[in-house]
Amino acid sequence: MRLGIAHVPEGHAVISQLSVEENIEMGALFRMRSNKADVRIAIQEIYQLFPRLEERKKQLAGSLSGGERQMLAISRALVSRPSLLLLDEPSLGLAPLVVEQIIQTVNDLCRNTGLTVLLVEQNANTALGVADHGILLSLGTVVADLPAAQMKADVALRAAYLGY
Amino acid sequence: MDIFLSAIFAGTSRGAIYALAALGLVLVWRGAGVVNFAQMGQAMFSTYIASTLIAQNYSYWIAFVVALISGGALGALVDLLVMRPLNRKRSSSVLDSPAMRSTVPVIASLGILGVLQAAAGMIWAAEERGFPTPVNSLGLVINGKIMPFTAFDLFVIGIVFVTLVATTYFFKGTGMGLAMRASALNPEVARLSGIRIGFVRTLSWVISGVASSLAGLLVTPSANLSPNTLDLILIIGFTAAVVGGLDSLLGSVIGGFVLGLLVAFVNVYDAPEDIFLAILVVLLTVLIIRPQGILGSKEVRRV
Repeated sequence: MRLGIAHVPEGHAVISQLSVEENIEMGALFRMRSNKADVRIAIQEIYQLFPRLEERKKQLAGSLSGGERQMLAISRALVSRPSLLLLDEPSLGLAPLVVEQIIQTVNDLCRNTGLTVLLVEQNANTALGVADHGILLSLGTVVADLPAAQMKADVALRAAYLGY
Repeated sequence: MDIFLSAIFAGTSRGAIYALAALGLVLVWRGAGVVNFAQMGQAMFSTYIASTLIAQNYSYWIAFVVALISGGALGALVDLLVMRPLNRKRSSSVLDSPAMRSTVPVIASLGILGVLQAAAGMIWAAEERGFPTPVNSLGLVINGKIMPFTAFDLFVIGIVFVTLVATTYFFKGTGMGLAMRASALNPEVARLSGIRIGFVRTLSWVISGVASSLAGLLVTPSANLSPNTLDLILIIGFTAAVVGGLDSLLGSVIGGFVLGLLVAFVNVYDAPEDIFLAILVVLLTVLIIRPQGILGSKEVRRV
């Protein structure tokens, strides 16, 4: 965290017995003392990004839907103001529409703030839709390392590995 | 009627002390996942330190503060010297199964209790000594009538109340409290959020050490100080924590008062010999009927 790297593990990593607000604050605890004002601003920015979390800030995280919990996990990472965000399978177990929305929000964030995101995703179509660069792994070996648009256009790769 | 009232007051003041002991147990249970049987051993040790200072003519209050500090320091030592190395070792050995993971620290805490009691016996000799109260412990006289409670009872209840308010504020209202709750509930996510889990754990040992040494200081005047005096408080405090629900701070406090009243009533209306029996009956009843305790949460798993 202190190096500016934030990790969102797969499976909506939030603490369900804590409130939404507390889950977000948790990601900023380590710099709360040195920069309280900025933490408050960062939390406000999160609420603008995901208004649904602000509506539910007093609720326990366990009562949220899967999509909301994923938003919360990402928020917890973002509130630390990372320069690199590691996203591990954010689409796991979520409805396609929700995935789309989350990916778009993160994408906008990258374009607007200069945040770098390392996204690991099975859902290749969605991922390549927003990525700049794609690295395709098969059984731990790099099979392709191409700009995302080029990878998306490669019919042979798609048929062999991406399944569409 | 007077007997009834004095039982109520004695029970409340006793209950406040049991609540502190239970609180100390719950803090370490929630913060570090260990049922700490050495807790009242630590308290006994710090009470001996206070008693030594008082014997050398230091004021009660200096001894009181030094005892609390040494209680906290002992808590930190237990974590740093025993629990942490134990944790590191286990992750690479045959002992690394879930059942062992939760059992080994408990056994270790029993060992620490033994060491502390033996050490206290060696340093201070095992003879019993008295321990003073800071305020009068005779029946309070108001308007010429002797009340069924003492100034010391009021003092104890007041101190425990302040402690409870302070801990509640600490947990609900401060960042460090949030960090402690987070790492108790889900260490993995807490660590990913940049919380220093090791530090937070040690801190919960320190706070628990302070709470239990406070319990030791307050309960010793009514018994006598010897290396084993506080064993009974440990058993009652543990029962109180289980009755209240091991993972609930408020529950442990309620459990403490319930047991305090129980002990006082058995003492007055029945016989002191039956106190132990009554406590065990309560413990068993709660374990059979409501194993998670009054306010404890059932473990809920979501997929």
